[in-house]
Amino acid sequence: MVKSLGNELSVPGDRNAQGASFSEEAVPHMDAVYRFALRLSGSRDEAEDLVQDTYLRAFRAWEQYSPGTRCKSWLFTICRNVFLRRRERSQRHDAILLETALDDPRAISREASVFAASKDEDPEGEFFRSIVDDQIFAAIEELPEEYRLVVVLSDLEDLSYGEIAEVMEIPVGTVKSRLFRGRRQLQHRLYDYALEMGFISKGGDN
Amino acid sequence: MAFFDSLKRLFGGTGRNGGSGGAASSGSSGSSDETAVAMIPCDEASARLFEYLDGELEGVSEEEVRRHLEVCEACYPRVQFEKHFMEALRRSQNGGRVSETLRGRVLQSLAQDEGLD
Repeated sequence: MVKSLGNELSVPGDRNAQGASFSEEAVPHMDAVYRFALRLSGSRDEAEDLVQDTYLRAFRAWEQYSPGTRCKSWLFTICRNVFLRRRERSQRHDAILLETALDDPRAISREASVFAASKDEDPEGEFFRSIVDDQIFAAIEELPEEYRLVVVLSDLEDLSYGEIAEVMEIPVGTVKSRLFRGRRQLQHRLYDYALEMGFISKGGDN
Repeated sequence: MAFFDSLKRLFGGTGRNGGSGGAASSGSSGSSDETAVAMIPCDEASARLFEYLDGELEGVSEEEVRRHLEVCEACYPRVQFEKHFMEALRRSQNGGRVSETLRGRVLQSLAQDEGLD
């Protein structure tokens, strides 16, 4: 049955016609796919299932993978599709996005920035350094899904705007505006937290 | 390079005029000629700050934005602010690795899948 575990899949099909090896190119991204799945689903169990399905699908489609595309974002695309299909199946259409409202540039520019709020106290945002990782993780988790995913893909997984657009099936302009607003929202949350913790005090208060 | 930039900022970016709006002085930047391009206004440059930090600036004004943000003293805190924010996010990337059990299960399912094909 299983000929080998670990990083080497000694099965036929590991190397596709273009010479790309699944165990060398796809398998090393399993942690990243898992993190993405966790962000998508919000549940450990579901994330594990997603990883499994994603890898199975990716493996079966390995012939269609062409070197040159970034394997990580190719896997993310598959993972998101698997996730959406599952969600459809479970009839949970709760997250309908109001795309037009979100992408209204005037709405974007109306947002007050944390930079402006903390300008006197901490103009260069040193307080971000004091915030512990768990708090950042939690703050990201609280973002609305449409922002959370682009922020994760950009700031944590280091995908380009173009790659994010592909994974999320949205135009690059939408990636930009979601990223912008997602980061702003996140800054607000982290700023509030920093105030709470006393890493920074409210400007003009004293 | 960074050192040179901070020199330019010290000697060149005299745009400390209260921040938004005012065009940063294109500067008597100590270095020779710098092809005396007029600086774009601060708000125009900072509107594209994320693109700059993400390495995604493109289009005709790319160089102008880059140049502004690298030199303008008024914009400097803002650039640092966003950098610190993004660094914090990046460093928080501890969130989860797959367990060995799951890794084993996935690899096993792949190995077995070949047989079914």
